[in-house]
Amino acid sequence: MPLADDLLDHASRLLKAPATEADLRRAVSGSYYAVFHLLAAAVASQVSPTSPPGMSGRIQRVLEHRAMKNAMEFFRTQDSCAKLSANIGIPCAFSPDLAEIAKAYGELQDARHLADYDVVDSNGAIGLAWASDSFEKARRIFEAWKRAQSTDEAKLFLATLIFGFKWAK
Amino acid sequence: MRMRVQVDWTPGIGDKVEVWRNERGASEGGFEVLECRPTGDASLYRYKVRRQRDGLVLEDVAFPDLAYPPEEKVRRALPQIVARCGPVPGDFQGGAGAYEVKSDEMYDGTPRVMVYFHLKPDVVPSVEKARIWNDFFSKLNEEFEFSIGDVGSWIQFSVKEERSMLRAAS
Repeated sequence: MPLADDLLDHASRLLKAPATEADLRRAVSGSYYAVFHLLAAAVASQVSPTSPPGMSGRIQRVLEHRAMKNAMEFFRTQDSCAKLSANIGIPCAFSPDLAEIAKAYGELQDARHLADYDVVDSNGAIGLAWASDSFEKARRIFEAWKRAQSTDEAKLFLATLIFGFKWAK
Repeated sequence: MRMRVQVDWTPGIGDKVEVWRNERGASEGGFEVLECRPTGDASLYRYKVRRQRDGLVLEDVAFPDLAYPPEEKVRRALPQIVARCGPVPGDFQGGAGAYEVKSDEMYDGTPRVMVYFHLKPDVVPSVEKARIWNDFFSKLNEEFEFSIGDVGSWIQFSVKEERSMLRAAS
């Protein structure tokens, strides 16, 4: 089973009978990393040759979480998509699936920070509803990616995750 | 100082609004609407506004974008949008306390407006229920994009438990 699916499955199991707050936090963190590895593996698959061995794994390590979130902003609205298209000179049609991924990824990343670092939880967000909501976002990203992955827009999306704002020259 | 105002809503007396010189310009700051008079043109109104911080009074405010802060804009639009996207999931509370709108920031400083729907006290959250909530949130999101477009902030919908089920059990 690919790591991404394994992580999502693990999050699902944690949410079936969470016994402690740590279970909820791990489920949210796992949901985020499931999505991160889903997209990181897709990036590596798009840009990496099969040899030398290990190259694909190293490419996945190049990706930066916050830069990915920011790069996805290009795909959130029709306007931002048109802007990217104008910047790089490659047509990019707006994709509702990629827009959904972009939005949910940002929200999930934020939830992951709360899950892993915020011991205070001043908003009282940490609970089963929050964890279930985060898991559901991850599951939707998986579904949206399955629908979108073979499109030209998805290839641009993956390239943008690596190059960010650098290729808008 | 006179400014011509184009807005897609009608500010009322006492409303707190934020004024920009133009879409990409710097903010003029926050103002309170003191007076609103119709002009000869049915679509034009003249406003008297007062700067909230230093008390400077501006008789009219030239070519600004006058808008509520994102949080207020979302708060005002939400009842109609929720009504259009109905039915509201049965797990959510109804009435005045159904939801709360709050500005804050993501961990990386990205401004956002959080819309929390309060769960009924007896609701036990689950992944299956989260699926229904997220379907509803997707509709809200689409309707927001369609109705008011970019409010200048990230809008996020979420649910809030009255108290954590885990804490309740302990």
